[in-house]
Amino acid sequence: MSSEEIKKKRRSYKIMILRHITQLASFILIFGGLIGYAATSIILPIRTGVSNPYLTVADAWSVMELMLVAAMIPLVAISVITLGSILFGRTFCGWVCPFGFINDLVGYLGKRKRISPRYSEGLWKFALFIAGVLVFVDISIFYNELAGNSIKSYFGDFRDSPSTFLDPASTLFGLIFWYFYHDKWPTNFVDYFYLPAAFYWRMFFLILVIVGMLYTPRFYCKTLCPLGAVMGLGGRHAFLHLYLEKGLCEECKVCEYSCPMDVPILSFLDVGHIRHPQCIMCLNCVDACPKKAIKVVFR
Amino acid sequence: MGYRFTSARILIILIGIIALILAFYYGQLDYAKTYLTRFVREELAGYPA
Repeated sequence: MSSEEIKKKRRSYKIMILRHITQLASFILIFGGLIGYAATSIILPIRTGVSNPYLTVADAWSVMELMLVAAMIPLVAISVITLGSILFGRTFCGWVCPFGFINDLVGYLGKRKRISPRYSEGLWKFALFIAGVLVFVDISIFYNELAGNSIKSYFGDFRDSPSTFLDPASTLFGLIFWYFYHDKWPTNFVDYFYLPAAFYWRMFFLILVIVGMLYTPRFYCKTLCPLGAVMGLGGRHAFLHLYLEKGLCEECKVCEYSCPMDVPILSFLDVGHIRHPQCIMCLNCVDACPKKAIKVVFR
Repeated sequence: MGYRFTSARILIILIGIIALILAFYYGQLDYAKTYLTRFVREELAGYPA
């Protein structure tokens, strides 16, 4: 279906506009230090890192990792991730996460190519694999720290936070911010070749993710985000989810073409309850459906 | 919704609630603020020494 045909069939854009307003408000509140808000003890399942000084809330994945590497059990992060995912699925990804908002904004500038929905679950499993590797590394460091046999030196500059190796959010909101704040950018062209090695990798990875965002909507969220992947595990059993009314659906596929996460919505036609691990509850499909066949439910 | 689905839900909710209670008991609820109110060098791999 061409983008013109989708636009003709799509019922409205109201929820999409509301969602972007909510994302903007969340972005401002999360970086609320810029407007005078102090840091709080709130942890949310979002991706920002914790190194930006203007943050008012903490990133659950970063808190979990920093506590594990410091040989502490991250009980508070575990509770936020489990309860957040079982109650709301990946709604925080779709409505609150600042890096998800960046994904959406950059995505509007790009090609907005769909990845076939049949690969959607496979991409989630890939992201889950990355999450598993990162958690394995963190737990290995945790265990060895407790045993008094530190293995951190094996991870070089990433020894205190291995996830930042694959974390464009903390690169954007943390590393790049501090380079500007402390004026660490080299003044000579030659000095750019003498920056720490980790800087080059992190910048390369950030640029790679941005290029991916220009190609397909929510590229990072659907292929690489470890927190999103873990939230998707609980999201498959979430109370807050979507329901597809079989009697109303005419299988026009406008919902699937509108979905930024390439969820195979019509595969849930017989089951009704759409609890897909990639669904970020953006409600683009609810907006798009010309027959109002998709509803939000909490049960 | 089958038994597997309901069991998985109950398990995830139990893990979350127990973690929350233990986090409260061990005083971890305010821990995030310790990261947000200092220079977190740990996350800045690639920052010049």
